[in-house]
Amino acid sequence: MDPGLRFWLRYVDDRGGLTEPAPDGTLVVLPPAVAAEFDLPDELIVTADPDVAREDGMVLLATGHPLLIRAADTALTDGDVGVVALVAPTTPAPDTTQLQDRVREQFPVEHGRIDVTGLPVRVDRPIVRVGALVTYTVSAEECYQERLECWVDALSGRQLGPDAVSRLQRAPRPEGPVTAPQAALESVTGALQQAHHILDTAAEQRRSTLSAQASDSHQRERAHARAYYDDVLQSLERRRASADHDRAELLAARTASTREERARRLLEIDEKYQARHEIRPFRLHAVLVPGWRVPVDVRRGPRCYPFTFDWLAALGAFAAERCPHCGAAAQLSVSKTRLGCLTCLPGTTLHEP
Amino acid sequence: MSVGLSAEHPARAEVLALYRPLLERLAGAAAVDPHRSAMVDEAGEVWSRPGFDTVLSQERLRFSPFDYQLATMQTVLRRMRGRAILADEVGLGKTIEAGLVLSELRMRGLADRALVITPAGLVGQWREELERKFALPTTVAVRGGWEAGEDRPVVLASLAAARRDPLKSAVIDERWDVVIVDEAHRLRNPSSASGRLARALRTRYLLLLTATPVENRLQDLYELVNLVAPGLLGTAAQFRSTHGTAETGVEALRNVAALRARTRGIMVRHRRSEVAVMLPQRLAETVLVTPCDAERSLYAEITARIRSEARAAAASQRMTLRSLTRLAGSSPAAVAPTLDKVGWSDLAARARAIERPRKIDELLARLRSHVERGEKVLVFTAFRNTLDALAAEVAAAGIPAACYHGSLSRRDKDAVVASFRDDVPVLLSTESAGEGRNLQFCHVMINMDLPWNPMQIEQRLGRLHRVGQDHDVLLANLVSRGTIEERILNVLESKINLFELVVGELDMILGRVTDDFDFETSVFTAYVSAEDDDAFATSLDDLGADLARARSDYLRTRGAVDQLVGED
Repeated sequence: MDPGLRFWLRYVDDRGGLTEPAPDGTLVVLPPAVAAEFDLPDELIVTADPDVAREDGMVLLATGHPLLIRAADTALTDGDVGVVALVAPTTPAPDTTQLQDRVREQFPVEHGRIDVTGLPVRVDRPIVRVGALVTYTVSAEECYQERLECWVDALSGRQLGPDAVSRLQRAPRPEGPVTAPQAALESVTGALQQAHHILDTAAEQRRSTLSAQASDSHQRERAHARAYYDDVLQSLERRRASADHDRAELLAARTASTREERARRLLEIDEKYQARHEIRPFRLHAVLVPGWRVPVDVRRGPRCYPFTFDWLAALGAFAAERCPHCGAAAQLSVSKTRLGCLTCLPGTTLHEP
Repeated sequence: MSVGLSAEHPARAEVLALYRPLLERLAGAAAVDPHRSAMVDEAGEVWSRPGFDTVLSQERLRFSPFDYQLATMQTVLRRMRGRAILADEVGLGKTIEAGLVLSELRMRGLADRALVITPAGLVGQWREELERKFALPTTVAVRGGWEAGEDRPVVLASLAAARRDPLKSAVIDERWDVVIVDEAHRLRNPSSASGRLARALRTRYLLLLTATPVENRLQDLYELVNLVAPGLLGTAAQFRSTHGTAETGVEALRNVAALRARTRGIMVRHRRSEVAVMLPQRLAETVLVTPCDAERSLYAEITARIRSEARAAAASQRMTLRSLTRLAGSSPAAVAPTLDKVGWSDLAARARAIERPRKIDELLARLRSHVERGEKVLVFTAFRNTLDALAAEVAAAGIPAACYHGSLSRRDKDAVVASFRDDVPVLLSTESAGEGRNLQFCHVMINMDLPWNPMQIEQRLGRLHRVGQDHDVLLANLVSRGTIEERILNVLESKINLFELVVGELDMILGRVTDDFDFETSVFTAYVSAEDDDAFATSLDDLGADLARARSDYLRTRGAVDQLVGED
């Protein structure tokens, strides 16, 4: 079935309509509101085959039909928004020693050591999932639309890798209603800017690739325009050389305006090939990943700085954290005065974690 | 825990605004519905694949469009969702592009109710193009409405008729699938009758065709864009604050690049420099023929009487006298019957006594020369009587020729054109020749007389000088010395370089002289108002100066349009 028509039937279904296969088409019964939305009768048979539509008087609905575009637009504007909860672990948290070993393994600390200081507490770690359509305009003639998605830990602002995303997508989900604490929703909102930044950066990279592919066309078009104007100007010059006074003046004016036009045109060609992109978000999920919050001290000699790490059972790892001082995604480091990271504490060796 | 992101990304408010609709829904904290997620994914697919990948209508076309015209059709349907301003430079085929869009929409059952609004003078041309090239049925709307046939014809209406009741109410009451407006710059003023009509039409798809979407005022562009994509340029106040006031000239506007980027989403503009359509040159030659004494004295007598009579003549009689002046410039054979009709039998007798005007000698000499070189020649005259006289002379000279005129049936016209293409080297024709016909196998044209309306000269040239013509077009204008035609030709050549203009530019120039400028009327008025030939020459100089100014204005505007809207 045409993907456009398949979508529309699902859309109608979502809006409370009924659909049923019919010979050569699909019988659709629309609720009054949907019929009014699309200016269609309450009951109709639709097909994506132009020949069937012409011969049998069915309504032709295929990809490209404005009605489908409108429905898609509405669906995207309404978006896919909500909370996803994962089934909480039924087993107790790993014991303190195990957690301490894991956290020390995952978070080496420059000049310091992590000691677990108390019992883990059950928490739901909010992760934000954002999906968007990106329209890449590489030139006036070339335009592409692609989808981008990212999963970002709402508390640290760190992007989840493909393996973590895959684990979360496979993780079992509970039946029944879901509730999300206000704080979790607020942290999702707070992380949105970072999520958008990640999407935007990815889109920029993709745009550069597409733009490089269009470079040949750009050069070709410039060469074509140059050749065209050279030819026109030479022709004008030739005619002007043998023209009488009045005619020569006219041709001179035309030469001047053609030169101006050439300059404009070349600038425009360059401008035309300045690629751009536009992001249209359509998905926002607050994913609540169950875990255990582990209180720790980060120690340097006698000095200790309290901190927490979240053990996420679904990932089999602690959630990534940022420097509590500067927010950088760098390895933690302890000085004599505070807990920081290799970025914000002077005199430390900078390593990417 | 602070993650300190705000400082890294100062556009926080902008990002939040982008996500606000989604955030508001998230506040309800409902669980994600997997069915809805799947549907939204499919919506993304539909949105990303705008369709129209295959051109369904192509096999029905009766011509081969250029690649850039097909690309325009797809751009309009895919990216612009069928609402666009087609702003190609003159002569590149905006009509074809609009016809392709219309044809494709109809093929997909999306444009059963189609309306084309054009200047009155172009209704016939549109009808011809839609029927002949696109095989689309058409019907012309008149005051009372139009015939809604079973084949759902495309309704053609002149702007003049459509903006006035009762037709205005009829077109406004209809819910159209597609509306096409040719020469759409006439809709710019929202308070004009045309502007009000455009804003009252209800249509899903809208194509505005104009080579000049902006003249000198920035507001022009705002108004046209608002018709196609309301809100694209913001409110009028926002637009003014971003780019300049309503009266801002193009040279002084602000944020041009941003404006161009916006308009690119709804506007297609091709220039000759970017498409692979190169028309050959037009090589024009004015052949001044010295009339014999009898011709000269007859012409002088006729025009003197006309000047004398016309000053006190009623409007209808003035029309007759104007025709008489043009007939006198064509040939004695053409003018004689009308001289009889107006009661100047003495002059009619003198006209009939002239056996062979000098222009015919010149024509025959030229025909022989071209025929010897194996070149086909198209000879134009405005008048049937001249045509008949020419036919007799050419036949007597032993030069094979075919005759084409408006009285022939369609089949006979086809046969004449076929004969010209395959057999005879010469086609003698009145103005009606070759409307929409393919005559590019010929590249030599001779004007036996000169229309006073420059657009008619342009139309004659357009029969040969068009896309598909491989040779430079050779044009010879045969003009008798001392005639009004000689003066007209001088004005048109020296002031606006008529024969070197690009196809379509003449219309742009003439349209800029004054609102209701009519060259032919202006010339005749100047002639009868002038005390003598010197005064007439002075008047024509003034007229020429107006044309020259209009031409400069046109060139300036063309630059302004490029600067503002760039290209597709």
